[in-house]
Parts: sequence; structure tokens; C-alpha cells
Amino acid sequence: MEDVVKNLESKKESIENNKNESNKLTKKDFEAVIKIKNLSKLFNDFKALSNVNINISDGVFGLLGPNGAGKTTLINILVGKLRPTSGSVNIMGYDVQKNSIEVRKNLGYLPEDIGFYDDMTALNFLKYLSRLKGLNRYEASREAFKILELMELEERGNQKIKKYSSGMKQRLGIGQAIIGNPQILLLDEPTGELDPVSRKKILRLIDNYAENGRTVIVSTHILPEIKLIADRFGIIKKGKIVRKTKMKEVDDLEEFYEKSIRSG
Amino acid sequence: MPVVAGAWLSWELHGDPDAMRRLTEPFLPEAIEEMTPAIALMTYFDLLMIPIILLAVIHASKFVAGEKSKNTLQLIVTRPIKRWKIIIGKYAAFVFLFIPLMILSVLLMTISIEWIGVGWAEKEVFLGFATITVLYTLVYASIATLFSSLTKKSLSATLASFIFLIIWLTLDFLIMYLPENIAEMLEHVSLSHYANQILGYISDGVGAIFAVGGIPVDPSTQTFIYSSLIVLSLILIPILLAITALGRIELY
Repeated sequence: MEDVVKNLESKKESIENNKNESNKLTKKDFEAVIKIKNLSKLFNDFKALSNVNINISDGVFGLLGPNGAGKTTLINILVGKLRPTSGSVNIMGYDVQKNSIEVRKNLGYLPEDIGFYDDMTALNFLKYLSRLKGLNRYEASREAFKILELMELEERGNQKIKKYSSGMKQRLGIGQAIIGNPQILLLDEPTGELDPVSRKKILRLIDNYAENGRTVIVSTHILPEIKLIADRFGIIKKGKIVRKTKMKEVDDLEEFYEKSIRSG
Repeated sequence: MPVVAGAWLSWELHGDPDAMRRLTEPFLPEAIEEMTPAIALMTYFDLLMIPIILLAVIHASKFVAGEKSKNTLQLIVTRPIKRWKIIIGKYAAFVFLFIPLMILSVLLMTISIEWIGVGWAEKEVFLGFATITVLYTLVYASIATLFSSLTKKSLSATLASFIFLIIWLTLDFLIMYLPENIAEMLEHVSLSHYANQILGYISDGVGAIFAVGGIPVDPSTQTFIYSSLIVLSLILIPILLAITALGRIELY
């Protein structure tokens, strides 16, 4: 784990140096890939999200907050699993409600409680989801092999998913999310309860994916991990965004987080 | 299994008018005394009803509810495809898989009843039974698809579909014993009533032996079209409702 931490930290440092800039708002902030405006979600009388306003541009964005804060609800609205009660969400210029198909073409999603077809092989699972992503038979097959290789699962591609360990399943989960190389990746608790080795692999994958102008939103409550990979983050509490800032502006994330949760 | 059971029953009853009479008297307005290919196919069709229900219901109950309980529905609905295509796709896969199987089993039965000496069923009779077998399968699968969209577990969908179909089939069966005015009313919701008219039309009156409640054995083209439209709507309406239900589902 230590070498990954060092690698990621040095990488981040060099990026920061190259940027050679202060914490002023940049052009990037105005070119938000995801624009969330006055978003609220009610479940009967329970307000899961309350008037959320946030713009997210490229890079890794950490969505932090305690359990039940509304992180998953927000992600579920972004991917179209839930409908907002009020407000709007715009992804790459498309409204998630009105242009859901266009939005989903550009989205990859890893649910927190991902399910698998246990009797399917990983290869067929990826082929099937690639076809649903709109790839033709040939492209789907090529994509499935490519992802298996990327996820270091190529040797187990023809094995049934039920024989996979939880770490392998999680990598397969991320693999299905990056089918078609989407511009935006939404990962809900991607490292879950994984062992350190699998965790390391997944963090490296996320960090690599966010390069080349892609946007990755990671919902988590594991602060040390998000600190390593996120450029920006927002803290959500009781359905409200209580803080949003750049990672480099914060010296001690744990302290900042605790303060935000207490005061927010 | 139903082919073997149907062939065995036809073989047992073939050439034994007394047995035929004893068997059919309690259930039909008029007892049947002679085993013909059409009657053998009808016997087979009745036996086939159980596997049809089991196959159609158990399979179609998993369409949506199975995906929900496995947490895989979220992987499908977040792909760039319309939700209606999910239902249609699964239903189409069922049709391609099971319909040839159903037609093949009717064909096997047709061959086996000739083999035991009952004789060849006319082409129209075979077509009539193959058609209603397909229609029954499609209707039952549609109903199970609807329950699959409304429930969270395949088991709940299967049970709900079974309960619904048992009530419906019981009603269908009781029509023969109800007073004529009530029977006429209930015929409007009876699948066997419409299936019998379709069967009667296609088989030129040979297949539709249970002409109960004043149904013409060989109905007119107009009646055939009307019955076909009703059965078609019994297939399409549950599918459309299932599509609507899936379209409104929010996944937590």
C-alpha cells in the first residue's frame, strides 16, 4: 500500500507543480461536465436530498459523507435509477430526465451493491453488458477481452463469476463500468470491504482512468483513499452539500471532514 | 412427458367406446365415444396445459423480478437502452426459445397418435392445436411478465401468476356447469372460449369439440378475427402494463 501512496502522492505533486496556479477559480470550473441545480429528492416525508447545487468538472471528484447522508441517492439520480423530486441535473449538456439515453451513453456506473449473473463467465458477462451499451457483436467481444486484461482477469475470463473472490468481483464491477470508455465514471463505494492488495489495484485503476480529461466521481466514507486520488471533493450531510473544495486546499482532510460534519 | 402421457392415454382409450364415454361424461355436455386424431390431440393439449403453465410462468416470472432480486437490474437500466426494450427483449427471447419447443411437441404427439393407430390428424387440425398451444403459452408468459414487473422477487411473481391463472382456469372450467346467462357473461373473460373459436376456425370445425355456451363449432371469419384480436390483446395488454410498471420503477 505504501508504494502506491508514494506513487500517487508524487504524481499529484508534479501535477500540482505543473499547474503552477493558486486556488482561484479556473476555466475548468466553468466547464462543468455535470451541473446539478436545486436538486431535491423526497422519499415520502424523508428528504434524502435538499436543494443540492454542485458543478463537477474533469478529474476525480470525491463525494464524502457519513452513511445515510445522501451520497448514493445523488449517484442514483445521476445514473437514472431515481427521478428527482425537483431540480435538474445536466450531464455533458444533456438533461438526465429528458435525454437519459444520451446521458447513459457517456456514463459508466459501479453500484455499491452490485449483482452478478453468477452462472455466467466474466467474459460473457462483459460481452452481454457491452452489447447493452450499444456495441456490435465484434466490438463487444473485443471490449470484453480488453477489459479483462485491464482488470488483470484475463486468465479467469472463462471462469464462472460465482467462483470469483470479492476482490475479483469488484474489479469485474469496475470493468463493466468502463465498458465503452465512458467520459464519466460513477463509483459508489468502489473499495468497499476489500483487502489491501485489491484496494491498491482499484485505486490505481481509478487514478489512471481519470487521466485524459475524464470525470470520475467516487462516493466513499474512507478518507485516506479519496485523499490519494481526488482532485476535488464535496461533503454531503443530511442531503445537503455542506462543503465543496479542492483537495490541495485542505491540509488535514480528516480534521476538515469532522469539522464540516459537526458544523454543517 | 406430456407426449408420452398423451400417447398412452390415447392408446388406452382407442377402440374402447365405454371407457371414452365414462371418462368424458362427467366433464362434457355430450360424452365422446370415439377416439379420433382431433380428440387425441385435445387430450394431449389438456395434458400439455400443466407444462405450459409451469414453463411460461416460472420462466417469465424471472424477467424483471429475477433481475431485481439479483441486483442486476441496475446494470441494465443504466445502459443506454429504453426500458421497454428490456421487457420486449426478454419476451422475444422466451418466444424464440419456447414456441418452437411447443410446436415440436404438438408435432411429436401428432406422429405418436398415428403410430398407435388412431390415425393422422388433418393438417388443419394440427395447425389449429399448434396455434392455440402457442397462444396459451404467450398469454400465460405475458401475465407472468406483468407480475414480474410488479414484484421484487421471482417467487412472489410466480406465486401471484399461479394464483391468478388457477382462478382464471377454474372459472373457465366452471363455465360449462353454470346457468347459461351467467356462462354467456363469463365467456367474455374466458381464454378457452376464444381459443376454441380460433381452433374451430383453423381446423374447419374438427378441432373445436367443446362447443359449449353456444359457440359455433366452425365460427365465421368475423368471429375468428374478433377472437384473435381478443387473444392478441390478452398477450399485449399485460406486456404494455409490464412496460409501464418497469418505466415507473425507481431503484434504491
